[in-house]
Amino acid sequence: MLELFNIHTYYGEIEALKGINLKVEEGEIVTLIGANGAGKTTLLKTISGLLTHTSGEIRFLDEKISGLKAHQITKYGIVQVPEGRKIFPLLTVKENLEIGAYRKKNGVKENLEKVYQLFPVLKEREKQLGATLSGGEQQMLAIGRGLMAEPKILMLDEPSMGLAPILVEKIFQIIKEINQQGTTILLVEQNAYQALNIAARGYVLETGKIVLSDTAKNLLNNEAVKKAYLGK
Amino acid sequence: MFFQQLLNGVTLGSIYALIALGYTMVYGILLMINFAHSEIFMSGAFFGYFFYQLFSRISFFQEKIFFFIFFLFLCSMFSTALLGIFIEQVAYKPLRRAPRLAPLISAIGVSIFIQNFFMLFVSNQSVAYPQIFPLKKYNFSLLEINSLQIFIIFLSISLMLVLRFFIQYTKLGKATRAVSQDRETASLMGINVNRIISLTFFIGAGLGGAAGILNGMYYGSIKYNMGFLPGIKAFTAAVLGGIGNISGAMFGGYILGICEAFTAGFIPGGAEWKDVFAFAILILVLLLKPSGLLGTQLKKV
Ligand SMILES: Nc1ncnc2c1ncn2[C@@H]1O[C@H](COP(=O)(O)OP(=O)(O)O)[C@@H](O)[C@H]1O
Ligand SMILES: [Mg+2]
Repeated sequence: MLELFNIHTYYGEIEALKGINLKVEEGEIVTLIGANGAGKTTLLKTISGLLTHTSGEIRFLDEKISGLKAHQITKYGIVQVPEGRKIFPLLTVKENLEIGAYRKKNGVKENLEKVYQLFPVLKEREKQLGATLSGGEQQMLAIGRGLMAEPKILMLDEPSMGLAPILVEKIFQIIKEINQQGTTILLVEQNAYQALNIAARGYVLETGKIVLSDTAKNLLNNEAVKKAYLGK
Repeated sequence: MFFQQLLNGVTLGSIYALIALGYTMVYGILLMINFAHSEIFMSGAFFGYFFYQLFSRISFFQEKIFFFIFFLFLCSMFSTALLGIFIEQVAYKPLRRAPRLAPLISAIGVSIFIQNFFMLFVSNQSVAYPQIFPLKKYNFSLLEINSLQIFIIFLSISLMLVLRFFIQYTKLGKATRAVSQDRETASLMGINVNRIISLTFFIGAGLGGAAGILNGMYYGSIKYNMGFLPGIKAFTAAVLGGIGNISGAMFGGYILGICEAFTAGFIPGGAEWKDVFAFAILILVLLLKPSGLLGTQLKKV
């Protein structure tokens, strides 16, 4: 479904991605794990068009999407839920959700209902400003806002960051649920254990390079992964 | 006397508020002061003048004062709005990643260009502004109000209500707010950020154009350099209300207009000092409360 061939991305002189090859099949949860500064966010931003890669190619459903701008890439059904949630602080919860469906002409009401079903707390807070939500609620809003666009693939950037353990559990549960309802997922996480637990496959990113890729099960049992990312 | 000056202040304030909206909206999106906005305002006055000349020769508009005024404003505002987009594309867009000083210099260049354009091709002197409709006076016990003042206040408030509605309730209005709060995330929502930036210049310039015509009607004359004072006063109004904040710009415009009228009316010799007064307010706000009275709301919190 989504394929990256030899992707290089630079920040000025700094090469942040050094030849990434990656594949996500339809219906999968694929996770990308790696330490702080490894280049995970850079990779998602490159896919979503916020950053441009200097060489290589990105294909989605056998169509080349390299070089398109972010707002054009959303048309393909590729939706990124950014790191740090990035809720619009002065839009209400409902407006945040509506803006998630900016590209949609119809079905917005139905999608809103679906999101409210998934996250009832958002319905309760419908009229509040985004800035007034707690961290966990903001993450739910960020995911809900992403779902409003009816993504074919949802790319989540560290959705568990800064959340209490009980909420982390819940967020991963919901990601699984979204996947079971038919949305392909590319999940970026530092919480490797949880991510590998719900994913089918995983990639390990270190300083801009994929150093390992395997099924999630194998990665959970991999000695190097255990040591570096699972704290064992 | 008090109510008379209040009326003058509200009339002036309406014009300042319309101009201030252009400054504040562009700032809200690009965090940049569009210093060419005063020239956009001036151009609006001249466009109004041209369309007046044009429409006066069209028989359809004879005796149809409502349509005359409607199309006069519509065409002038639209032309000014296009000029706003043009300036953005030519003078600002190529410099979006440049140091902050670059668009400022570019704005000064554009201002000089537009001023000289009207000076060379129209006149280097004041041009008498046509009286678009007959001036009627209405006397009440406390004040005397004329049809022009009613028109200025009514039109300004209507335009501002339409703007409020647009920003608050329409899809594009919400997108505009989203872009002003977080440009990158807005583009992840599928919003074409460049379009929204252009739209902001379009609206801001259109309102500035309307203010230009109203200003011309109110003072009875226009000149190529007429933009400077109202421009800087409207900028003061925007800062006073909290730059980036739409309600703040309206509020600031009226406060400034009323203060100015009171200075001119009640302080002996105040009329000569009323312009100094606006600058004093600007400096005081910048020193004491740079975020303005209502806070810079559209900006990222
Ligand atoms: N805007 C930027 N400008 C320059 N360097 C950046 C920028 N953003 C990230 N980097 C650098 O690129 C590398 C990868 O960052 P990032 O993709 O954010 O990592 P991760 O998401 O895995 O923590 C880091 O070394 C980081 O310092
Ligand atoms: Mg990151």
